[in-house]
Amino acid sequence: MKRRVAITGLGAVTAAGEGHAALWKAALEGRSLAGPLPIEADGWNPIGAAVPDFEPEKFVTQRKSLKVMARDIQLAVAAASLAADDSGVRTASIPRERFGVIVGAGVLNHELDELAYSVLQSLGDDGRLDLKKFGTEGLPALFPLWLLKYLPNMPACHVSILLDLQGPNNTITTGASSGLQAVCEAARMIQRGSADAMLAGGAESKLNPLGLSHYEILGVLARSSDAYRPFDARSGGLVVGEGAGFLVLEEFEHAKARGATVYAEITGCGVAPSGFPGRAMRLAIRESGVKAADFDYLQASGIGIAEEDRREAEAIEATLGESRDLCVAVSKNVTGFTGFSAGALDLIISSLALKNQEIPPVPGGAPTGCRYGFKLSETSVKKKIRHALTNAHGMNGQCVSVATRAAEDAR
Amino acid sequence: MNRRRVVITGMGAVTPLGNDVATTWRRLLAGESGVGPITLFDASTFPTRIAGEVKGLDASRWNTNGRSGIGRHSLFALAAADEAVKDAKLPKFAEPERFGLYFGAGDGGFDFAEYAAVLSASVNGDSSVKPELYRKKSLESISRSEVLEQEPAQVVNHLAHAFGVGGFVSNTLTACAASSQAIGEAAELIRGGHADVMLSGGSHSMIHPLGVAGFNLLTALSTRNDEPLRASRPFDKERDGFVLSEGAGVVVLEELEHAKARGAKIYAELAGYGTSADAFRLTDPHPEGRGAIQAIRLALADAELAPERIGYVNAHGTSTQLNDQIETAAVKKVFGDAARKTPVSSIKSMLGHMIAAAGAVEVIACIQTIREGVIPPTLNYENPDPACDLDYVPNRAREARVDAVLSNSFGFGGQNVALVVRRYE
Repeated sequence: MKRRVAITGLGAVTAAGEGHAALWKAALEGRSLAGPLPIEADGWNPIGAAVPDFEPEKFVTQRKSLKVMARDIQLAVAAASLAADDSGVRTASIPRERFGVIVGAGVLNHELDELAYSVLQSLGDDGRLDLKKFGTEGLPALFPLWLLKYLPNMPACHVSILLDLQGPNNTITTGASSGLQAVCEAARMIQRGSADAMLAGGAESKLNPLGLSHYEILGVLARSSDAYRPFDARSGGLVVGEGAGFLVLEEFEHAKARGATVYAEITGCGVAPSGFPGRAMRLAIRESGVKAADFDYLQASGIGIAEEDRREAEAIEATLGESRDLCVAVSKNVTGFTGFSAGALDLIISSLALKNQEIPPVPGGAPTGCRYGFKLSETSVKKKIRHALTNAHGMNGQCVSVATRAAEDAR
Repeated sequence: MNRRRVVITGMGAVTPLGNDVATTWRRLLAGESGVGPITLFDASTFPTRIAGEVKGLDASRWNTNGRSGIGRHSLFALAAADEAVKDAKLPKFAEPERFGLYFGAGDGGFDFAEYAAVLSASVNGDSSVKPELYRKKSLESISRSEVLEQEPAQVVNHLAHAFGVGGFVSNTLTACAASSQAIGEAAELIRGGHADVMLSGGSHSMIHPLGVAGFNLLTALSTRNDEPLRASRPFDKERDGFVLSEGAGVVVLEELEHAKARGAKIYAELAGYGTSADAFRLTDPHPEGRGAIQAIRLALADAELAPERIGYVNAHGTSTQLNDQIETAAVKKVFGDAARKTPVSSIKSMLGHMIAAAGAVEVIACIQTIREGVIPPTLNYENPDPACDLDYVPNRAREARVDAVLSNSFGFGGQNVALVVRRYE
């Protein structure tokens, strides 16, 4: 018999604060959490949705460990801990080698001052980098564990050590879809019997001069939070957020046997190359065994880049056009675009929507200048939701879709 | 219903020993080292001044059509994948989603001199960077493609586009275990019915100033700068760290019936995959090799093979003190009495450590061992270490009929992967 996958724990650290309840409240209110960033700069006033008053010490008791953790890693550990607490798996008797973690990540930004100090020791008489001087002066000036602080696989390593997860361990680096793809691959692990429980999600913090400059070089930054309007022809690009989202996935019978809260069941996963959102959606729908017409709700990627949104909108019309009651939600302009964690956070929101039978609104309401054949509601919608789809794509990442169903329909 | 079986029908490699599988393999059997002085940048004052560099790769065809600025690791991946895809003679896919890609690409390098210029111009007075200046300077001098090439995701974008991959696409970056993990996960996708053919493997280059500096600071690299050919010496008592190298290895994995139906040549079967985490420390493996033991046991169980049936162990064998000692202990623990009768070798003794790409090239060596009946040696094995007391196939290749091989890969930070490759008959 096919092993089924339940979502039994949610952990989020976002601009709304710590915990999935704070994220859900913000999603329902549907207003942007972005604001001016505390980056001291003359003539540059970047905006973003930062995590307020984040205290990593609450989650990492060893100060020594904090020193080797980039902020992305600290956020990952916090969200993974919150998800573990939420699901009750810390006290459940799960063999450690049957419990693993998959993290969506990528290149982690280093702190500029750290590297700048080393570079300044390494300049030649002409003011340019002299590698000979770097070897003798610059290299020893770097923090000895510098590399460890930024290796993409380190979030997964820290989480595995902190929670003693000896099962499968992976780090998925596929850009903006990384977090949701990590969830898909963790679900496959449980389906094929390689694990009984998995933590999966993603983390990103690019609200620093390096990260924001990179987004600006890519030409995707909006000038104000009002300008971030997913699916709107007038969207001026995206607003960057930071955050981490993790979910505890568990073999369905295992979760039931220990009386765990089931938020939703994962029924299908679809992954396709960059530029093929419709294929990812079709694959997820096909695997779920549910008719496209029976999907009530889509948590869309809605990245806010006009070309990408147009492609997603066309894919929604082509794959879910038969669903008369389809309600489409987008929450990116609440939390900001959170990169590697974006898809995982959207799956947390859609899991809560299934649990609470309520669909969050699209901030700013129905977009202007486009005529899509689906509903985007300015207010939250209470209605019967049985089947949901969650999308993650864009920004050069792969296309990922996950189909879920409400726990009460999943018995 | 029987489980879907996975076979290898294509191979490609770009390594410090050659820019294809045949050259790399011939030189591995000859016991040659691809390690030499670093020429990619001026490393003359670095603690480590040697590495295994890829030489003479003609990548011009990938840098045309406005694709200038493709990263070094992307070029390695494209060249190796091109060899593998041609080797497999892949057909056009009626359903594009049946052809997937699961890769283990590392992060891309960047122009350190250019970046240093941005940083030093952003400092005003004291040594702290002024954000506004930094933004201005980086917008002036860093291009869109330079930003994109830093992300491992860009390698799979290039590959998917170049080879018409239409199905599942992923990239794992679990440090030194990445491409082995990619191959294991790709095989699982075929077994699970999610694809019929998967392109897999890995590519990486960390031979840049910050890469070498980072590993030097961790004291992980050999500093045997005066004897580059003798620097990588896995299991030898005088080993003093690994030698950084670069390249790519790519395999085409295919569902057995699919391969048979189209008359593909079948090199071997990917029969077992095991993965685990040490969950111990960031820098050190578990002292008893707990995670390594678990991964090896899982891979053998997956292949339904007892340890005695393994004719050769292709070791992770990095040439660091701890890895080689603990890997030896792990093999002994799982294999018991059979450990001493089983040849174990590390081709990192010749290739150096290709980091994310290492495991894929090692899988190719395993396939070649089965096909040609020759085990590649551990070069530079001269001084026995009491903690490493297995048969390491020292210095000369050995003829032997081998029907099943175990390949180990252990990532920095505690991810462990073991693969079993078996003769297909």
